[in-house]
Amino acid sequence: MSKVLAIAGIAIRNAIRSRVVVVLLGLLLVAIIALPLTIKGDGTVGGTVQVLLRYTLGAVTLILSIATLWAGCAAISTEVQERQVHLLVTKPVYRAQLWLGKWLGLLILNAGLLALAGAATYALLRWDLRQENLAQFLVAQRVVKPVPVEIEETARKVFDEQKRRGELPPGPPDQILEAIRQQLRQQAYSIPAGLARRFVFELPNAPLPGRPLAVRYKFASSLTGKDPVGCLLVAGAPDRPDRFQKPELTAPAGVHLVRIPPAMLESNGMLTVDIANIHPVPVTMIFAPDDGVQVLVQETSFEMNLVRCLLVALCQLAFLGALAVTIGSVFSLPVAAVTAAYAVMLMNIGGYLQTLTTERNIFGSGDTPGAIDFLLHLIYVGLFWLTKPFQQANPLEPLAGGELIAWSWVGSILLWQVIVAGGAVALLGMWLFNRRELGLPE
Amino acid sequence: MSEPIIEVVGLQKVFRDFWRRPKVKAVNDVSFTVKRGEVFGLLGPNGSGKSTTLKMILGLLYPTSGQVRVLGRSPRDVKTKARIGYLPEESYSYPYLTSQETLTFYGMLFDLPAGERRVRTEQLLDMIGLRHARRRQVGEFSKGMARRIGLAQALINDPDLVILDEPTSGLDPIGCRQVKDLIRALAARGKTVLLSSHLLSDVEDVCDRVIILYNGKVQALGTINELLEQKTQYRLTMPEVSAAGMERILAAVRAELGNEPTVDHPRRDLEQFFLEVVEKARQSTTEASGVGPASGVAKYLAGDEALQHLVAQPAAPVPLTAEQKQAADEKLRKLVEPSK
Amino acid sequence: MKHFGAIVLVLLAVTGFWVAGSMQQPLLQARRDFHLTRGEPLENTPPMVAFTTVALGGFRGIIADWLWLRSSQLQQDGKYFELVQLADWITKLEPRMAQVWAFHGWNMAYNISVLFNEPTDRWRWVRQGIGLLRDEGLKYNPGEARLYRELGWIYQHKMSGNSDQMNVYYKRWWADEIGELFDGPRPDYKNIPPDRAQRMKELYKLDPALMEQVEREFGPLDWRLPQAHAIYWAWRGKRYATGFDVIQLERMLFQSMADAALQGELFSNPVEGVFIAGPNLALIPKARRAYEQAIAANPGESGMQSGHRNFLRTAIMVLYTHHRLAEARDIFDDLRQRYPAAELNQSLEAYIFGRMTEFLRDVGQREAIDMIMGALQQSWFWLAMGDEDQAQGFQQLARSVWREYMQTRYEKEIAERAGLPPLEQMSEQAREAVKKQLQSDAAKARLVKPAP
Repeated sequence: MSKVLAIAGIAIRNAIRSRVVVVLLGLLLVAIIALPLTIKGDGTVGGTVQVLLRYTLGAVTLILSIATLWAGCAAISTEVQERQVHLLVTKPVYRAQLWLGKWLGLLILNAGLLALAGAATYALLRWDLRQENLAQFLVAQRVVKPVPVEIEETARKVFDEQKRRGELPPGPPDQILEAIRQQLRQQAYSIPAGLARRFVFELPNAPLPGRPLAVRYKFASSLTGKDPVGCLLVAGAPDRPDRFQKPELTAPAGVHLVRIPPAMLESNGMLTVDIANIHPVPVTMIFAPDDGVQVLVQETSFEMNLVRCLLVALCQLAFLGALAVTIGSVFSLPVAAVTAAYAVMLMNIGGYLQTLTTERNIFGSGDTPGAIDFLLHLIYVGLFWLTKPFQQANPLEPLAGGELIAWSWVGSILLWQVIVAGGAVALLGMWLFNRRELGLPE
Repeated sequence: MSEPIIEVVGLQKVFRDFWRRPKVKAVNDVSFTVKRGEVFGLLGPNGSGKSTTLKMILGLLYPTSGQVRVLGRSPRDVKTKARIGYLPEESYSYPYLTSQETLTFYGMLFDLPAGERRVRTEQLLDMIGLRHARRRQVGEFSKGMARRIGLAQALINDPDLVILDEPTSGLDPIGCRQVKDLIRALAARGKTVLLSSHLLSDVEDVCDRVIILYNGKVQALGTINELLEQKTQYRLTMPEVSAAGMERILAAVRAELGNEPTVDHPRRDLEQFFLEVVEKARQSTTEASGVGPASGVAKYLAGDEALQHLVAQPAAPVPLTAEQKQAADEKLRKLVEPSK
Repeated sequence: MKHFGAIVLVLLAVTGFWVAGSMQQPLLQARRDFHLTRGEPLENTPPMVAFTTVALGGFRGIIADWLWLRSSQLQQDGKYFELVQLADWITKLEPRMAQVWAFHGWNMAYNISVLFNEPTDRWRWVRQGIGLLRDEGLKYNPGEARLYRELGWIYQHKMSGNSDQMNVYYKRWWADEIGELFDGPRPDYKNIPPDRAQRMKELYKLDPALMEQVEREFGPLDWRLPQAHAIYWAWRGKRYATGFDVIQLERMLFQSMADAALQGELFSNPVEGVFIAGPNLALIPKARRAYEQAIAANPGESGMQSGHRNFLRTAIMVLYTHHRLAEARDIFDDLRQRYPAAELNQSLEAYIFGRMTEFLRDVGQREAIDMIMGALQQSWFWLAMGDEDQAQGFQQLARSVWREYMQTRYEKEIAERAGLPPLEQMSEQAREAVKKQLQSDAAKARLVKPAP
């Protein structure tokens, strides 16, 4: 371990003395200080906070990601190029230790720079908006989804009932069952005029008294156009006489927030929210099952959320570093840099790849997919699954949006990004580097 | 001269191109053994396979076939590497580290305890005469100074086997002499030295045995004497004699050989002469140069008292042992006494 | 002479360069003269824009596309905070493409604004849309008629019209803002304090000299109302317009003029909390002229003629209810001449009653009472506000409706069952109702004077 630390130390010292770190710090500070000057928010304090956080920290992570990719690719490849590695591998050092040392050096540098940048961003945010009351915008709220409506069992019952009565429509049973499921789901999450639906939320740990509580909802209207729909939002235990009520004329497709008095929360941490469609004209409100109705509850301080966000970002940089060091231990710097950039690009078009995998007829000329279509499909599916574990979530979205970055999420990122994905890349890198001959004639 | 330190048997290395097609057979069926305490020279022109062989012994390149065993193990074994010191052909140090940091870093790779690391670093800096430049970054060094750092790092672990690639390249004559003295001193302490060089005179000065490679194949292998001694010729060296005395000697030789022998004044070794001039100049001035006065061999390397004495005055000619003297006398007697 | 050929070629090349160089200026001039450029050459480009357009070269489009994708995604997800920034970048990346500016301005003012429930939020986005077009888009494309059209449309349709449920809020806020800026419905053009002129130019891009010209042609306008701004921007855009834009801007001009004539005078009384846009009768002749000019310039546009006809028909009713009988008669004659129809072959009074009857034919007792009470209350209200013309107009309207309704129900039995109370009794009730709502004694005092 001391050898790994020694190698990491040298990498850090090199980075500092070659002024790479100074240049990076300069770039980061420019991004942190200059960006807010050019940013246009939507004219609200909350919007400014969001945009400022997302853009400055976004720029910081982007700069650090690019720097990490480059430095990671260069870490071993330049030493091979300049043959400093000859001195290292003729010392009693396993190549795995060399790999780890380079990666660790990169990680420590990233951690330091990220901490500095995070602190600078926070200080700047506070200073920039010192006249505003930021407490209501700098929050970290847990987003709670409603307890899912039971679909599966009911669907089976309906299916069995239809079967018993001999009313099953023709077709394969699993398709009929799926149709029933879809119908039930649609019923459960849509509200025709004059009706109400109940959404029950189970808050993981009862929030402290006085902590703000809010319902966030979004729906589509069965009518085209954006005419608002009259609805009534009722919160609190169903048997309470003084349930919270708020009538609203609400625009579809918009995201709306309604603050709920914390007293409406039941002692067991349950919150019941009823939404009634009181629109005079027949129009149905359609909610998405996962983000149609959500409850937001303040859980920790913004500062804590910022730390967690930076930790997630560090985990992602750790993975990028591992990827880059591995690629750099196999190829020369230019090749490695291009390869790494390509790999990162593949990981970032995961969503697009996913849609491609559903596409059966890529050339789209005939009705029946040809051999090339089949081949391409295989390639897309392969690429999708290959890059799936490496696809990165953006921790800045919840941070800026005031949503909680749960420890469990930080943990899962650490597990999947660093330990599993990073570990796999590390093992691959060590194995390849170990096989690699050094000092081949040029 | 007991256990083998390096065993090379039937070594072959084929370089392949991008498509894994064999391109060059750089080393072809090379075998040799280096024993403990030997100073072994690897000679050959550029592209002879000398450097490839060295890299395979270091575990940088992997043999296509054949076997290399170093200190009884594979050269890629970490335990082997702990006992090797390697000076590469050029300086491969980190330019942003100071000389002291460089030595400390390599010391850490050998897991040397902090105290020992400090002592050795100090002694090595004294040995290579860079004590005054300990806080300067290696990147600013001249080539000679960088080589000295390279040499120091190769010795930080007090290695049993020292592998030196072109050890004197880039050094001034004083540095060359010091390195050669150091090599001898190491050998005297039972260390094994493997070196490759173009400078044949250096090789001749320090090596016990040499191997000459050409086109990847062994062309010659043996002790310097075996290889260089011209057994069919004699050279007679003697103090100044009177003209009459000289005439008598020549007459005797003429009578013996039937024709005229070649007679000239022996010339002094240029290296020897240079060192004397510099030594004289140094005594008359105190101005500092790039490299400070070196102080022989690091204490931890020198080990015992006898060796200390041996290397105390590295610039002076090495005094001959009684045994060597006797051998020289023997030769001389044979020469002077005409065969009867 | 072996270099002769080379020398000739060099001379030819030099002559060619000279000819090309001397053609450059006339060509540029010709390009300007024939309006071949979509805008004047950009001068004083901000470094940011100059840098992106030059440095990024062809990549600009790709980056703009990517930003555009992101902005639609965010819009879909309900994350609006970044959209202003993204729109700013996208437009800066393609600063000379008017449709990009047009889309984003419209998207903010129309699509994003309606996603909010709170009027303040909506208003903010309408303003963002206006700001993008007015402050940025026109800065980079000062000669782009389409941007004037899009900007005018937000004033004319989004703010002045009533398609948005929150349009009253927009009108109010805009009126407060401009009223404060001008200290009244319009600035005193002869005597604008320098700081106010600067604010007008910098914040609202209103050039006093141009405003005065607009006033001369179309005024007097009440700039606290959005249609005045629609007229201003349409008028400014007209000089750059070609093709389709000409008709569109023309249409915007006369439609806004009609708006200004029919509800272009803001009656705002902060003490009574009153905010009413009433007709600006002085503008009716100018609005008529605007229609007539547009129709003469675009004879094939039948849509313009039906708009004109509707405007004239409404103007007659408005003038009549304001007791401007001569003007109403004048327009009635014009209407009859231009757009002959059977309903016009009678006297003006008969025509007006006819239109009312048409309206009242199916009206029940309850609605008739409401209508008459409404007209009477309006009449008393305007009397309290000191506008006797209006008061009299509404009084006349109430009487006409009463009479008309009772005419079809003259039989005793029906009149008892579905008839109306006497008009005087209703008028007294209306007076009491209006009196209760009034705050100031001066206004109350005016109610006592003449019983209408």
